[in-house]
Amino acid sequence: MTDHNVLGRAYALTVLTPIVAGHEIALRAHLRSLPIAAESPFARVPSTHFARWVIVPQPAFQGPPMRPDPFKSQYLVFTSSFDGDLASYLGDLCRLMGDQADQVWSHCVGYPGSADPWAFARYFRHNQVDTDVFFAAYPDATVDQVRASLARRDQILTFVLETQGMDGAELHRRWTETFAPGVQARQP
Amino acid sequence: MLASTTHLVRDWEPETTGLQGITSVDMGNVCGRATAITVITPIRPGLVTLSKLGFILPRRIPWMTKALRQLSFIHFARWSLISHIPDNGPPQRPERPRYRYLFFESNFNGAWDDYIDAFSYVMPVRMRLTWGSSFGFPGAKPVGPFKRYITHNEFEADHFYSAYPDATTTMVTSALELSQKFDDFAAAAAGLGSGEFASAWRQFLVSAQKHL
Repeated sequence: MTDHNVLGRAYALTVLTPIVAGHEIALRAHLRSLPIAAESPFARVPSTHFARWVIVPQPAFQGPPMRPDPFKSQYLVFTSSFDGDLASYLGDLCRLMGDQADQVWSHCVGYPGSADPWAFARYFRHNQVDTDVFFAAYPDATVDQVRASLARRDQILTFVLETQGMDGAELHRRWTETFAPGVQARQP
Repeated sequence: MLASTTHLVRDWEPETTGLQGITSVDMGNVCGRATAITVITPIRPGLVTLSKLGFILPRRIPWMTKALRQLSFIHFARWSLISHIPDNGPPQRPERPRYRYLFFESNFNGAWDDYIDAFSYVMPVRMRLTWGSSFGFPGAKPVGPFKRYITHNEFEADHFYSAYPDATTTMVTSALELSQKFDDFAAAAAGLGSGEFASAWRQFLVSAQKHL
C-alpha cells in the first residue's frame, strides 16, 4: 500500500496534539520567543527541510449552513518536511532536540518526555495525521545535498567571474586548484 | 502582472522573491525568503468523497501535478483529511467533531498575494476539486473572494523554520541541476590537456548558462 506521506526521499509529517487547558498562552509565548533560522531548535535536526509549530484555537466558523463545531481543546500542529524515514527522524528529534521538545510538548496532554525515546516516538505516531497529497519540488534531494549544491553554485559563479579572460593553461591551473580533488561536493 | 494564463502555466514565478511586497502575511509565517501558509477548512457532510477525489485525481492525472510543479516557487506542500482527532486520555476531553476537516500547508518563496493569485489563475479546476467540498468556498475565481476565504481559514505559524532560508525554490532546483552537470563535467575533464580543457569548460558554461 502506498504511503502518501512519502515522496522520493522526502517525508511529510503532520502531528496534532491537544494543549493542556490553561497552557495555551504560555505555549504561544514560548514558541514566539524561540530564535529562528540557523538558531531554531529544528536546525539541530539536520534532515529537516522545513518545519513549523502552529497553535489552532478553533477551526473558523463559516456561517450557515455550517453549524458551530467547537473543539474541546486547543491544538498544537507540528509539521515537518524532512529527508529520510519516520523512525530515524523521530529518533533524531528526541536525541538532538529533546530538551527543546520537552519545553514545547510538555504543554500538551499525554506527552511522555524525551527521556524515553520509545514513548516519545509512540506519542508522535499516535497523534500523526496522514498526508493525502504531498508535493515536493525536489523530492530526491536531502538537506545536505541542497546546501552543498547551493554552495557549489556560489563557488562556480565566483570562479567564472575570477577567470574571465584567462588563457587555457592558467584557467586549467586555477580550476585544478579550486575544484580538484574536491569536486565531489554532492552527498551520495 | 497576470498577463495570460498560458504564460503563467509555462513558467510562473512571482516577481517578488524577497520579503518586500508581502501584504497579507503575518511575520510568524516568514523565515528569510520562505513563507508558510496553514489553512484548515470544514468539509460539507456528504462531500467527503468529492474531497477524496481531489486527492486521488492529481495522483492519477499527470497534468494536475505538472501545473503545481510549474508554480516554481513552492518547495513543499501537503493536503490531509482530518477524519478524527486522536485521543490521549484525560485531561483531553474526547473530540467528536461534527465535520471532517481539510488541512493544507505550503512552504513557498515570495509574497502571499502572488501565491494565491497563481493558484487562482493557474489551477482553478484543481482548487475547486480541493476546496469545493468545504463550507464557504467561493470558487478560485475571481481571486478577491478566494483570498478572503483563505485568510478567514488561515492560522499564523508560531514558529517557522527553513534549512536554507535565503534560497528560492528555483535557486534550489537550479543548483541541484548545476551540481549534477558540474560533477559530470569534472569526471569528463579529468586528464584533458589545457587547450582541450578550456574548450570543454566553455561548452560546459554554455550548457549550464541558465543555472548561473
